Amino acid sequence: MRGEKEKSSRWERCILLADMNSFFASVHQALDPRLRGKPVVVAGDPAKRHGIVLAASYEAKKYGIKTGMVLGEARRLLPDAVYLPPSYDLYVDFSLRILKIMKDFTPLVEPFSIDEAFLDVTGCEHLWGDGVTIARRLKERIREEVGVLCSVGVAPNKLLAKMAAELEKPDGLTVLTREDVPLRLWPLPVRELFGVGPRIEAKLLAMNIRTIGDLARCPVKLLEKKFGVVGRVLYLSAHGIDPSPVDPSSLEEMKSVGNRITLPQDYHTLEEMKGVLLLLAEEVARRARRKGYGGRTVTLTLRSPDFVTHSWSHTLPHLTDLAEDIYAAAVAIFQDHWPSWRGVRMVGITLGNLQPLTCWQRELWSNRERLRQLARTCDRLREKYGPAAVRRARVMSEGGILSDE
Amino acid sequence: MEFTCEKSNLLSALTAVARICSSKATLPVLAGIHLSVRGGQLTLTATDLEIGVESYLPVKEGKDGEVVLPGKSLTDLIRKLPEGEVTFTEEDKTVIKVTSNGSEYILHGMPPEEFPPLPKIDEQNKYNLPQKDMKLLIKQSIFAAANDDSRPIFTGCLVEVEDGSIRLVASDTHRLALREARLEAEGSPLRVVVPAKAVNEVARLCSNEDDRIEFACEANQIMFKVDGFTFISRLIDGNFPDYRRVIPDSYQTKVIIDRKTMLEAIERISLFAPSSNNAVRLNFNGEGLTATAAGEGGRAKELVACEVEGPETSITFNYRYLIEGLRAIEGEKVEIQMSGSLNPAVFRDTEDPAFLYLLLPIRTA
Repeated sequence: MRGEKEKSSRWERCILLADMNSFFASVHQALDPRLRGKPVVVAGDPAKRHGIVLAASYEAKKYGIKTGMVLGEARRLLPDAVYLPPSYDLYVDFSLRILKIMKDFTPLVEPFSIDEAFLDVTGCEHLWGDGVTIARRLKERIREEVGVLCSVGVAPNKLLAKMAAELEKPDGLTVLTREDVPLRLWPLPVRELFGVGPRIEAKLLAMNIRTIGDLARCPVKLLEKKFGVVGRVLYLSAHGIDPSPVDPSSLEEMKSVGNRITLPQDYHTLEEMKGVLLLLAEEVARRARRKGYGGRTVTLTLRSPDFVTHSWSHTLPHLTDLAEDIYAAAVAIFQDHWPSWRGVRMVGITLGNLQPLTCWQRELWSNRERLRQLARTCDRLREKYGPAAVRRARVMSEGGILSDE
Repeated sequence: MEFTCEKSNLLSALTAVARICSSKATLPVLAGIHLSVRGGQLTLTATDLEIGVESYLPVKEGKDGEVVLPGKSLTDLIRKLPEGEVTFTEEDKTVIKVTSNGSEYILHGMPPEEFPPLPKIDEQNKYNLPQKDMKLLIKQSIFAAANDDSRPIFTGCLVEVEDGSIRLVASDTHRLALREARLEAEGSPLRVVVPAKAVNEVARLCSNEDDRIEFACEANQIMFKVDGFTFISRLIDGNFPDYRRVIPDSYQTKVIIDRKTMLEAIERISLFAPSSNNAVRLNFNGEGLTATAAGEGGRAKELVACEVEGPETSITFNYRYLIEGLRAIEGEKVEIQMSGSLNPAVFRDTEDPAFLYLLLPIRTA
């Protein structure tokens, strides 16, 4: 018997979710002792009446102040609270410090939002003790070193860890096992299940599924019919099953965007290539813009008819999300490296070294800023009216591959 | 060919010339230095076809003649020789024997006919100014030139002569540096763009003294002459845009700030700027300058006292450009003129109206 239990626990994962309580408000309380124990409300522009409550300390929550509430309403409920504008720099800074503490326990830390992260501490028991001990030490260190309280859920998977952390706030530590699911989760309304948003909730209610237990008892076939793949995930979730791994890179930035195309016949000259290079550059730039990224490295990949593939990279002087910059670099690479007697069977362009493009160096004697505005406008037109709504004349005038997008 | 000269004299003439020859040159002869003796004068020449430099040295008479010797081995050998006289003797057409203090070194050279001659420049329209002026003109402008050659015109320095003044202007389109100096003799107007490499080499040849440097242009070449050296460079083709139109003639906020204090503050703050855009934010108000930066490694804030005239202004710059501009200024106080957070800012030396640095801000989301 005992041997069997040990065997099963060896396969069982141990996942923690740490959720900072009233994070924004707590940050201000941690920095300014005068705010501790007082109702603190962080809201968009307190100078104006129409801001929205972004966070409220537990002292403020007692008076019924909730995140998302209109500022005027909050002020009516609690005129004496300390109202502060948000300082996102600070929150990011605190968040990074907390992540650093977490990484002292395990490298498998997945930031889930600015104030929540999953930790996979499976196999760490000989280093730090069991899940509950780690959770306690983690809470202690975050409280002492950063000055913020958090609720931690300890469970065999991410879903249950997240649900567990929700059960006790603030400053909670809750353990949830698969065995606890019928007793502790099934009675809860279905919207409390991780992954159930307002739209899914409405559909479930229409199926007369009101609690997580109702969902667990619903035939999986029925759910699959209604929600497709998501239906099966919902069913498994209601049973407390979630195989998804803790992925430290889930929130890490995208590294590159690329596109490639096999040509209808072998191309040889730059003139033949220009149209397709522009098309690829345009596509790559658009994808980077959609994610809010710019890149500094343009890589051109060419495959010759004998299936030999070559790549060359060119580093730009600054980040860009413009097709014009990417195209110019690709043309320069092609001219420098590809002999004209050699045919091209396949061509690809990748924009790498991606970073969030949050600001833009202004330039003299340059139309880059206007090109950027133009690109953004075209992006919006394409979003609204489809990819064929706006095209470059050059791309339209080319035949073959370019006409069917 | 045969000549004798002092090792130290030969070495200083050689090193200035050897900088131009490249072992990676497409033409093997360009890795060499051309030596020619005529009537007691040795002329050393090197070129990479873009720029060429000649240096002159009186030698003890021997036999006239010429040869091309490998630049690097020749310079290395002369550098390592003990002080004293060095004698070059022709063994064969391209084989040279170097003797010094009883030792012998045989160098294999190249036929001198293969060495491309430097272009001859008509010296009718000559300009001249003190070397120290030229040095400052170059030092306070060329740093703003572009490093990448996507737009070649910006990789050089605009040299403009007009109304008895010479102006050097360089811009990588993110900033622009301009320095002006008076010419004693009013020359004919000139507007050419000289490659950055050439300008930097000229600055090396200039001393900090009042000795003159002469220059002249013809077709697409420019020639500089300082004592013992002639320097020739190809010009960059194309039209440098009209820089006058981008220099604002008015401003809203004027700041007078101690240069060194601001520079040191920005150097510290810059350690915290995001590596993707180097952004540091400056806020000028009645309390002075507040400089901030926040990046992957943390964030920083510094206060620097300064005089602010006009409305409060917040502006974000690439710290690299800001630091280079502040370093280029020599005076104690800097005047900064701004018009809001999106328009170019102008940096000047309060003691020296001949320098101007225009810096474009970063537009933040």
